[in-house]
Amino acid sequence: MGSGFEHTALAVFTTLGPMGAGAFIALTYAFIAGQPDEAAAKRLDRWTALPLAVLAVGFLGAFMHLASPLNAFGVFSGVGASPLSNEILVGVAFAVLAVVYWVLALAGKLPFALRKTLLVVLAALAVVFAAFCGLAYMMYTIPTWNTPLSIVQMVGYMLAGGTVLGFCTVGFAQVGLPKGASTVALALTLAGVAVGTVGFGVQIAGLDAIRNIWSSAAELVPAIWMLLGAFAVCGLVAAALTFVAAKKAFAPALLVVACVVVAAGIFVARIGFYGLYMGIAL
Amino acid sequence: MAQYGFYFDATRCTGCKTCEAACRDYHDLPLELSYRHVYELEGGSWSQAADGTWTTDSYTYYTSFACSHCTNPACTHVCPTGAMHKDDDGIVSVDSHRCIGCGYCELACPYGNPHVDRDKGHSVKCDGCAERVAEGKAPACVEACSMRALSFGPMDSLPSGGVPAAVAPLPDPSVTTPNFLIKACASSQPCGSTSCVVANAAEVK
Repeated sequence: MGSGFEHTALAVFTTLGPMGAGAFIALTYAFIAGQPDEAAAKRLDRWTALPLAVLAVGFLGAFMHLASPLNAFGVFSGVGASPLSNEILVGVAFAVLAVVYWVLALAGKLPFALRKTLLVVLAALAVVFAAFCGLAYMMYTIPTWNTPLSIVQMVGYMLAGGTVLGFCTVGFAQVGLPKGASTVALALTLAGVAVGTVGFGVQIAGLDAIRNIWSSAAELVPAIWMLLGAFAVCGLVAAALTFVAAKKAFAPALLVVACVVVAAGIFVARIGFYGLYMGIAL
Repeated sequence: MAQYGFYFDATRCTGCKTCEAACRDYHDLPLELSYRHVYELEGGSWSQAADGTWTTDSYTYYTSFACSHCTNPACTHVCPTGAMHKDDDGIVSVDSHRCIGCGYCELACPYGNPHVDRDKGHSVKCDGCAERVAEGKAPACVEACSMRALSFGPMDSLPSGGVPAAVAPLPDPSVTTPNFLIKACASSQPCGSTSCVVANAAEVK
């Protein structure tokens, strides 16, 4: 048991990793629905460095969490058996494919059909990556985490954070999107906030039924509902900012603020989640 | 090779914690770390009868445990590198060259045994004092116990009277199938009991 802050590096990873990956859902929408011309596509490809950088900082967090980061490649030997290995495999698969996509796009060697295919695969992989981030915490000896809600909330955070970051990327690239884009941005962000809030909220509501020799799980983080509320409020503020920015040709300044706000909200929720660590007995 | 494990006789233990101290001393561990813990469990109450006399059913008992070298260890299940593994004699130990220090074993173990030593760069845990055992000696904790409450060896050679550890504060043995037998005392409470409290929380938490 602890405050959750002892897992700060992991909270950075599970906040920024899925957020960077989830941005590719918005990018997929931007390319398929927006049909940007060559110049706009080029700008968007250059700005795709932004979600990739966020993803990289996320992975750096995971790296910093290790006591022996130089042995990190060994994690692949547990693929199939260890939930952590599976999570990192999916994350690395996403990162490699995203970088391949980016390099091909920058090199101008990405026909639209292939771009569309790669983007759809990346968008799907972003969801799978988020799910595996949650799955990594489903250990039968940790009853507070051992729930599919650990997965649900991660998918919600990925969608909320990723959408805002994705449209922020679009904003920086100044790519014109169809009229309904603001509604799409709002809907995706709100859906993410709703899924994240419900996922974490239902998990918190179930804590009363869990206890070990020390206490009830409901006593682990007294402010846990406040932390959930902070995520929900941050998510709603970020959604509103994204919607307003979308009406103003995706004004990047507003979207940067939205990114920071939603990332802060997700981070707070993740710290709360780690604070809910409780062994089955001790 | 036979599966090795520990045996603890709760009817003998006085809670002196020499086993803990011997473990810490032999493995040169800092004060806040030990591969063996002694939990003091207390419970019961006093009640007053109509004639004014008082009776009590209060109790104290001790549970000394280290790694249970489980048959189905949670730590090896979650380990991403295979560093946490079972040796030929069933002892769960860490391959320090493969361990990345991710801490999943520490999170997963329901016996609170592995610990990530960031200075060493890998997990550390009870290995049943493998070097001592290889020399034909008993683990440090077993040898140090003045009440002879601890034993270690092949599971089928351990003293009779023990059953797979199923007392508070330990998890139900069905979770990881520990190779750890306990001879319970009269006060021992079952796994998951909330009628007792840990009296030495500051020492073990």
